[in-house]
Amino acid sequence: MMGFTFRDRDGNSAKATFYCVWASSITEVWPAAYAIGDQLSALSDGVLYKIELSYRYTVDEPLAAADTSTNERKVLMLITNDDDEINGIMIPSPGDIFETTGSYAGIRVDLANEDVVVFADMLLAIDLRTDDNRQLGTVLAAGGLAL
Amino acid sequence: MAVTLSPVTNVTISLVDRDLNRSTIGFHVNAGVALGFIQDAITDTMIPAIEGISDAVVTGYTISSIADDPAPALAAETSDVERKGVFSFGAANGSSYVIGVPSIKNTVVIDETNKIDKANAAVIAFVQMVLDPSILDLAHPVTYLGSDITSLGKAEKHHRSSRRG
Repeated sequence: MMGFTFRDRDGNSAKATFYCVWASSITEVWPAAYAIGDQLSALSDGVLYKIELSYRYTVDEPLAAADTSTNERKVLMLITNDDDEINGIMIPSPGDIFETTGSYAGIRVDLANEDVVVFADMLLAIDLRTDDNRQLGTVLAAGGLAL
Repeated sequence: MAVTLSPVTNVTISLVDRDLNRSTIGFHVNAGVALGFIQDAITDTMIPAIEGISDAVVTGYTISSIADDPAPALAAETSDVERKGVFSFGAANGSSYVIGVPSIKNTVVIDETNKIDKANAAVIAFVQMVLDPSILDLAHPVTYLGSDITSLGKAEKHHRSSRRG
């Protein structure tokens, strides 16, 4: 999906949407998106200020979620980046990953939990970035139940 | 058009809980990473890792790339994004496909009608770009089901609601 968002004199915005075949790569689509943006701009006296390319995928038959699941309960994972800044990732409906003893039992993520270790390893396995393109660091610093 | 490509590609993973409430998790990867690599990373590594710590289930994901202008120029005094140029196309599979161009210029609308002038040079160029797959090659416009767009039906000015901001 290609979205082209225009703005008018009064600050209102509206989007024109196009689709292209899903197999087109990001690299192939951007020149086409710019070309479409140019053609749309020739027809409009609004200002084109945003183009968004989206590839959407759905699971055909997802399993039923666990009885205990609720997306309104979240856990905040704190992760460092390559500038030693702390970044947060919110995970909905955390499973049984919290410390079980001590004063933080039930509210602080157990960083030694097997599934938490797998999650932290995933952050390292993929070159994940912050929104300003800083590399996420190697430390899953802490995690706790988000209020 | 003075938009700048974001240095990152966005990955948004959607989860649903037992009561069918939806929530998302956002990640970013470098903009230079290939789509196939991102897809494999999501399905093989990210989703299993997320479902390991969450008891909600993943129902889908979106990979998106954005180019924007954080300080766009002031639009023309005549601009109004609720004034749309609505182009109705026919597709190879018999379906129709509608594209609304926000703030269509009044100069491409035939006076005393709401009809868009199909003989206008900018309109011809736009319609040709949509109909001729060779112009944009693999990324040429199709319907949301992937059918080629083959003909132009009506092209008219309509007023449709917008959003603020």
